[in-house]
Amino acid sequence: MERLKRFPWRRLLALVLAAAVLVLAAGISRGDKMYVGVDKSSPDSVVLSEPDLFMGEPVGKLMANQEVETVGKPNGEYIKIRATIDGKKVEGWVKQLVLRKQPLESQPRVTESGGAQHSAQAGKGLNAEIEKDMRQGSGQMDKALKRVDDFEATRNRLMGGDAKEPDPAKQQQHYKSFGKEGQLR
Amino acid sequence: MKNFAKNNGLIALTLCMAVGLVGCSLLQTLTEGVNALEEMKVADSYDPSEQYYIGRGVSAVIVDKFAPVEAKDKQRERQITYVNEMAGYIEATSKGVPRSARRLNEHISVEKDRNTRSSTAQENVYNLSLFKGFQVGLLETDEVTAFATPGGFLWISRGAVNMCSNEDELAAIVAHELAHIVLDHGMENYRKAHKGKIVTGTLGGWFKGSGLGANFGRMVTSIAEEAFKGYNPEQEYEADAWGTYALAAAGYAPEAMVGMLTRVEAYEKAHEVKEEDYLHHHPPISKRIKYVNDLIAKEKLKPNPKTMSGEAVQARNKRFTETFK
Repeated sequence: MERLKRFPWRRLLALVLAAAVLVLAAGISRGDKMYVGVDKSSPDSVVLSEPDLFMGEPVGKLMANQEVETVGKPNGEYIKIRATIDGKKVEGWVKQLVLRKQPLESQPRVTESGGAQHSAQAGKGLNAEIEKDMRQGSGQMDKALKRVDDFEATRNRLMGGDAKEPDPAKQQQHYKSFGKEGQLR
Repeated sequence: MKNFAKNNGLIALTLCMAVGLVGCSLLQTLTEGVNALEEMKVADSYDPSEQYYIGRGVSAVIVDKFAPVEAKDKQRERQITYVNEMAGYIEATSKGVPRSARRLNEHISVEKDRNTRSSTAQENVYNLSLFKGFQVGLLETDEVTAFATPGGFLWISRGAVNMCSNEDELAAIVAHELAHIVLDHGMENYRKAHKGKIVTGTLGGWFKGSGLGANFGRMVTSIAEEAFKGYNPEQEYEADAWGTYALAAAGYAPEAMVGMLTRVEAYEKAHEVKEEDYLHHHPPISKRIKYVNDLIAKEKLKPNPKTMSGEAVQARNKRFTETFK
């Protein structure tokens, strides 16, 4: 009985509470429905076979606002996900920071089959429409943004893919080759 | 209604900080009520797609002032490719380097001049991702300068590239600018300067009248004005620290940050650049050099012997020279 009294119950309770907070703080847990927060042209949209850019191979690419399901625990900055890509169920690894609990309000929703859904909900916030308004309101800004358009098109072409639709997997390949050729890894 | 949303945002923020939730979306959901676009007041957060459009607008103001390098020939194409590959590679290898200013500051054990930052600003980077990744452009000017915008745009002048004597020093510039993006410094300054106010950019009267487009224009020109002024001392130290860690993680010599800053110091002296000229808020370069040296010593950041072998350094300097010199 004395032993029971001396047992550090308060400490144990504090530890249990701390553990509960840590579990909550992990943020993303197994089986969560999440949404993709990056564009399909971003290198971070690529689903990899391994939780490492330099080890993994691309197994698909995600679209902005696409719904995915997390599978298992995070591994470093990556987490395993399950998603439908081009009509096929795909499993692989993406960076945790590309996943959001809520879809991007400034982008169209994405249907289960992977198509963009242009609903009344799509396009809130700062987006291409607002930028178009801004261009119409200032000839100087319109001219300057044409320079940015040209820059992005050139950059996209040089890094893989075409001007409007850069290939994120090819961009990743560029990054890997740069490290290898510079004997940085 | 706005006050209600703002108050809820503050409560959410306090709760998030209390439990240290890294991926807290509650804060975002509640503060979205503050994002009253109709009046273009400053929101606590903009999603990655919105930040991309902000970055495009800010970049437009930058390339209006400094012409971008165009891919007119193979050499220029190679230069644009090179800096984009370098930035992508450094970012890809920077896992393990703290991704928020708060975590970075906890990590750094070196004394430095710094003010106490608001927790709000530090926590805002918890979920920073870039909608289209990093995009690096070169500017056709001999001035030694570089800009990082929200949304992942990074602009480096030809003068800054020419100042570097080797690839590792150019990597130091890229890593330092990436840090400003990763640590969300651009939006942090904007939020601090304009929180709760109607935005009024002053750049040359680009926008007349009202409406969403004009208000958005005033917003991006205002952010560009802040970018031209430069970041504050604390942010510069943070970017130096993040950049130094990132250099080491990427296989570059962390001392390259010191080398790069020493060249900037020499440039300033040679051109009699006064702090108020363009390094408006920057701390003196000599203090930054000492800070990075102390950081390298205290954190025991050592170059990787394999990536710093004579052969490896030669391979990098060969491609750097062939591309830029």
